[in-house]
Amino acid sequence: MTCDRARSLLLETPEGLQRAALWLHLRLCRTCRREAGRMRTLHAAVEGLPRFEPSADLFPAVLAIPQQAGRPQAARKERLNVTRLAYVLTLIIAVTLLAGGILTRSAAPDGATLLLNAAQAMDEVDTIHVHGYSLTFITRPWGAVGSKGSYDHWLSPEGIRRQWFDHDGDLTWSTYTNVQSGLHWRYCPSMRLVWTASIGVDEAREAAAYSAKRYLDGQIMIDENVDQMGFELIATRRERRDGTEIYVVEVDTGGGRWQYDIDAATGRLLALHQYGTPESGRPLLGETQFEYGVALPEGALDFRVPEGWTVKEGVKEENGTLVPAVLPGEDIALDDPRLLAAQERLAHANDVRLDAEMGEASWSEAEQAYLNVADPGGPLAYTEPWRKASEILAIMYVRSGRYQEALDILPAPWATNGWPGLVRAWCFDALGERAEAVKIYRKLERGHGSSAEWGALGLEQPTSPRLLEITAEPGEVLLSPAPGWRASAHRSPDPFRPEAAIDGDRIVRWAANASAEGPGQESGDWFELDFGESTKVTRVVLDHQGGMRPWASDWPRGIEARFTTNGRTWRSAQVSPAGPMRPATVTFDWPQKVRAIRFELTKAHSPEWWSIHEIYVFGSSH
Amino acid sequence: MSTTAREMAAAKSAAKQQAVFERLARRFYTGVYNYLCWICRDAALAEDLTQETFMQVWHHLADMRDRKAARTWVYRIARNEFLQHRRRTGGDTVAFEDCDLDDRADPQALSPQHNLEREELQAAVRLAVNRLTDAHREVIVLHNLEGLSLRQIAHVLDVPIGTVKSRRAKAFHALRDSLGKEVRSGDL
Repeated sequence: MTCDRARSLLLETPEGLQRAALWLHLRLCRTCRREAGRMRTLHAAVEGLPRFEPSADLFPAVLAIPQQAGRPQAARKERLNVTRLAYVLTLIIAVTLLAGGILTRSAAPDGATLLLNAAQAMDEVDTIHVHGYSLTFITRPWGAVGSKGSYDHWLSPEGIRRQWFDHDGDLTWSTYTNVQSGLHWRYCPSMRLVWTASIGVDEAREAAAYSAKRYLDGQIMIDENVDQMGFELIATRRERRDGTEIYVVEVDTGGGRWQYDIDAATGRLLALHQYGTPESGRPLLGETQFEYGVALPEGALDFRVPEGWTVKEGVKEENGTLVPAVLPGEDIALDDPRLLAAQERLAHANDVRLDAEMGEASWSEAEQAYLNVADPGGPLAYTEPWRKASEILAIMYVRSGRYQEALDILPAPWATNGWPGLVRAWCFDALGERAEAVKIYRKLERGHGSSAEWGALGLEQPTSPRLLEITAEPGEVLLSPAPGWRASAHRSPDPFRPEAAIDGDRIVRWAANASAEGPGQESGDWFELDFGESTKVTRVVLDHQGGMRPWASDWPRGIEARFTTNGRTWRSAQVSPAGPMRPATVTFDWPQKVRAIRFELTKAHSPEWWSIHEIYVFGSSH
Repeated sequence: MSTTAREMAAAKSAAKQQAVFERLARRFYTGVYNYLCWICRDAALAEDLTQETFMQVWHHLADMRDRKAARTWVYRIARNEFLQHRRRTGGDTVAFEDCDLDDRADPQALSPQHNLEREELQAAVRLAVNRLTDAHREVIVLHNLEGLSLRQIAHVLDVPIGTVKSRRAKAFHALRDSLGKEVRSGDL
């Protein structure tokens, strides 16, 4: 705008009317109109300028860049992950230093040293846990003892703990050596319970407590269950056998009497005798002799000491025992390139999880769906859902008894078939009875530190297993269970009795050929439900899952059904094929009078059993 | 994740990145070349810088968070490439007139007389644009030729949008003053 009149107009016009005055001026003033036209022309001329066209070779050359330049650089997100990891590690170490009071103890190692050496030892470890300022190495299973097993090193500034887990994931034995004195046993800073009582104490009562607590490793973390364990000290006495002084400790486990023989000099458990109680009338159930190290191959107990660590042997020399201990060799700075390299290795290791707990982790019961996981006699298969748990504790539950019996802790990574995966354990109680139910406790890390994300671990987040829901359709009414009904089968192995399928309890079940070595499903196996009188039925559903075992695989592979209305003549009924989430179902087109219905397998299948947790019989509501 | 799964995931990721790159190249390579031609005034150099630009695009593809901002991201890389080149060479570029022009306009669309006038005007405008300062010419090219919004240009140049507006206004005033009476209302 070059018109002088327009400028003066803006100055003379009252505020608020300036826009209108200018608009009017621009349309009336010839100079301004000409100027505006020139500018429009200029814009159009600029926009009409020709574009430079590249040569025909340029585009192919650009397209060939990915082939010539190799892979693109890592995303900034990756770099952020490294940054995040470094931040988390720094935080861990800082909190560790503070929590452990390590700042005030110059002789103690810092978390960085532990971490560095953890990484250095990674060639033979699967998992590293950072608990407070303790580290747990979980080594790869090695086959020297048993077919499968795993060996757990737990390092802390105070000492080293070793645990051996057998192929079932059960804790077989555990040692803990205190670096400083070699004799005093204590809690680890993370509050994960190790052997708690003193070894070689004078009081047998304390030794008994030690024995009980050792067995209850982990269980004691669940306060409400401690009292329910029912462990009760019966008697202690001192005996001398073959020149060795022995503490004898008798404990009532609630379902039996256990006698511990403990070496008074070393505090080692020499033998465990298990007796039945007078109530059960059982004789001696078993006798276990503990021979430390004898059954192990040479070197099995030797911890592979990472470079930079000093091995101090003979801390228990006064007892005639040599147990290697590990002391940190040096302190390193947080920005030490070796530490950074170690962190880098941790960040990119696909088979290493870095879990952090800043203190006492919480135990929480698994979701309701996982309570009372019933698989009597079979292997307990527990799938860790949604979140990862640092530890899993399975507690068998014998409903008809008066006690609960704890299995061992089933530490997750090596007791699972990969992570997340199945925890497997055989469910026998102290008396050799099969458990009827199992409770799962999981030690969650949420809110107690940080851990790698699922994606960062290269794992897919597991989804919650689905459970069968069998409900009445509109117009139907559930008839089962009802008094007077009678179930029978070709076999009635105890405790998988046919009645279990019509008792209204989805936990217990009937199972054909129920034995670990059994043939599984066989053609001709049958199960019959007799209603006692003619009953109008619309649908019959065989629940093979029980609502408790989403992984259940013992549905019938081939099945047919027949029913009778008078007990003499039998007619065929159509059975829908079964599957993991599809129970075998007989559906009648209209309410059918049925006196009894019989199911029979038409196809053999091994090794799955044929199980019926509950039969759901529906009738018409009209 | 097994090795095979990792390899598959990596291959999938690589294929995806290549597809993204190809889309970017198809969409922007002529514009980038045109922009570079205008600011460096050397066709051969513009081709080299275009390749360098897309080399950087490929290398940093994973950093491109916002697909919607791909256009400004690519142009910004192109500008950085040009600036780096100028720093290395001390601003040694050939004269604008030496650039090979390939007019995409259809000469048959207008009458011969109109074409002549139009070509004369365009030649004058082109020279006038060329005489603008780099900062002003850049805004004109990005806005009026490449169609970037003023906000996008602000992202490319890393300056406030107000600066872009003022540069554009000053550029057109400079063009008007430079062209004088050669530009008349209704010439185009």
